[in-house]
Amino acid sequence: MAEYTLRPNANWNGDNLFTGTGGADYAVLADDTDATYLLRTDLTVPASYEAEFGTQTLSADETITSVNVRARISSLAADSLAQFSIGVITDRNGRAVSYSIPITKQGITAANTFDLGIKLTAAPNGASWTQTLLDNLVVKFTDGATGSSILPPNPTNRTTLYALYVDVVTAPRPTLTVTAPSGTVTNTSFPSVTWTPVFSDGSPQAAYEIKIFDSTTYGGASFSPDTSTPTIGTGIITSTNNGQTLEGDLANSTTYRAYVRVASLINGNNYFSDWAYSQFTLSIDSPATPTVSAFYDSNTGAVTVTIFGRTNTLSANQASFETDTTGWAAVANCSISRSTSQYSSGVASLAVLSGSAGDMTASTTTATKFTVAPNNKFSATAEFKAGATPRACSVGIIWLTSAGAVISTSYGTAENDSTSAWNECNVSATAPATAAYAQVIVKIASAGSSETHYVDKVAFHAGETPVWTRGGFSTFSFVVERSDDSGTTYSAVRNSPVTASASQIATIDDYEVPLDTTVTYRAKARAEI
Amino acid sequence: MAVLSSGYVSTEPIQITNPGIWSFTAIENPELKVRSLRVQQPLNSQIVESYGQFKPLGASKTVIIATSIYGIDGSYEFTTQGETEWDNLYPVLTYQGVLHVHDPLGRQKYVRFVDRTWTEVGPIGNLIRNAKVNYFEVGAP
Repeated sequence: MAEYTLRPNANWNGDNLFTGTGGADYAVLADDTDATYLLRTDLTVPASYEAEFGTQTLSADETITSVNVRARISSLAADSLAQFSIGVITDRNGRAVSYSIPITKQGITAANTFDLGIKLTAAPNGASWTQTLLDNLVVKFTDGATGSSILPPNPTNRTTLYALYVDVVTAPRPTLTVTAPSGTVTNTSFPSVTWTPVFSDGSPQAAYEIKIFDSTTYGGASFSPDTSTPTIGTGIITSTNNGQTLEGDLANSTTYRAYVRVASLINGNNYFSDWAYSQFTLSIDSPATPTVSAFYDSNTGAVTVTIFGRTNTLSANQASFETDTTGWAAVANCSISRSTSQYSSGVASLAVLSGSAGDMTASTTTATKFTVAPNNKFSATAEFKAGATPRACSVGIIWLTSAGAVISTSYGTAENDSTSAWNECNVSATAPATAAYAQVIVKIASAGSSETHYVDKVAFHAGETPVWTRGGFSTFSFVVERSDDSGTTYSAVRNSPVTASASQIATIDDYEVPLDTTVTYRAKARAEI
Repeated sequence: MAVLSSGYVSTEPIQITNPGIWSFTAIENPELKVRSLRVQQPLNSQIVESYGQFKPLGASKTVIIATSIYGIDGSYEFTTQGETEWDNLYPVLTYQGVLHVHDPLGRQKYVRFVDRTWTEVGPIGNLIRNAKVNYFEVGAP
């Protein structure tokens, strides 16, 4: 908070009705001695004198909170009456001035400097204070004495005006540093934006606003955080919080800037800082892109949108063996162990060592069996590498009943692994009508005795088109949106996001689809980790 | 727990041909719906405007000060024959919530039924009922 005191520097009006003793009218009010003063010398009562004031050039980072007047006055009589008001010249050529309501001081018989308590938080014309209005300040002094002794040559109830002061109080513009997100964000699509505000006058934060722009937008030639369209914008939030988790998710592998501004409350209005930003890049092991299909059901009158989440159902360790072999078990003719000598993802893989010549198999454990929906497609994928001798390898799905009994096993096409590169094997199959659970099984056919093969990047998920993503996701849901303008804009379908079933399948019925209009649906998966 | 999102995947564009029927669906409880309902013509509609009328002293004409203009309100007259059709309509007729309406022209809006009356004629086993409901057009829930 800063305070500036302005003093008279010119006569504006009424100087012919008053006489300055010891100098020009305005000048006697600008010194600090009672030896010079201003007195009414005209017979007109009331009579007013108006002085202009020197100005103060404000910086771009401060705003006026109030403008006040102090006056040093005295009189010889108790029936003296002086009035003061602040004015702003709104039309200098037309001599137009807007005034505040006058403040009266009556019967001041001893010289004193009075705070007149005007304290205008807005200019007298109703506008917010500006540099221009400050440059055009006047103070109006009215001698309104009444009674029998108001006339010269020596009226006793005139008010002697010794000095005038205008006190301008300003508040500093808040500043801030956006502290997060920054660098590379690897753990969420909904990063939290945090900042450290600085209110040098001690004001509390009254409001904030966040806008997230992608690199294409903020790199544009005409970019402005005030006017450019953000990827996510919070609007102005009235809050003292210094952070907020974004409510919209951001796209992976994209660089963004989080622009933030904060405000203090000045005279009931937000006084905002400049925008500050923090740049960050989203690089996450995101859930797999789902598959989505839509068809119109004439019986229900709705478009049914079906989404198959293809995110890996395995735990992170089951998928990539970064800790141990927990969640896996040897099934036939082998032992299993974690190997750090070979890996396709992370720093470890599953080593499968044959006990004797013949097929060897290992699978995820029954304790970690995965929920499936009968008659729906599911997929599994795994990568293989030979320790010494390439063999025919395949990945399969063991279908289990709700009681855990094996129904059947669906293997994908067997492919020879290699000692020099990882080879991906896949399987997509329809769950049998009685299936409730599934396990993933890997098979190395016709292995020699004491032969090692490595397995890594194992995944199991709903839908076709197998894909590997890191494991360990949970709480799946899908955002479903519809476009009726060829994909230019999308809006959320009612009941979106929809929670996925345990087998990562969800359907949503859109009863509000426009008829005779070409529409497109899109979906994305959300999951917790 | 952090929340992560995948990228988007889109369907092929699809176009739903207007079946040319009436359908009423309780959009927040879609099990409650009726389709291919017989709605009698003419359809009665009105638009209500919120206004005040002033007759200033000395003025020769009335002054109207309007604020909001509301949606298309009106009434529907349904005809059902037999108990099955009536049983299908009745839960919708008495639903105390927002209904989504598709009309045979492919237009859609959201309505709230507020008054229901009906008549019954014909033999007991094959009653013909004419139900009239007044409704207000409301915003999407």
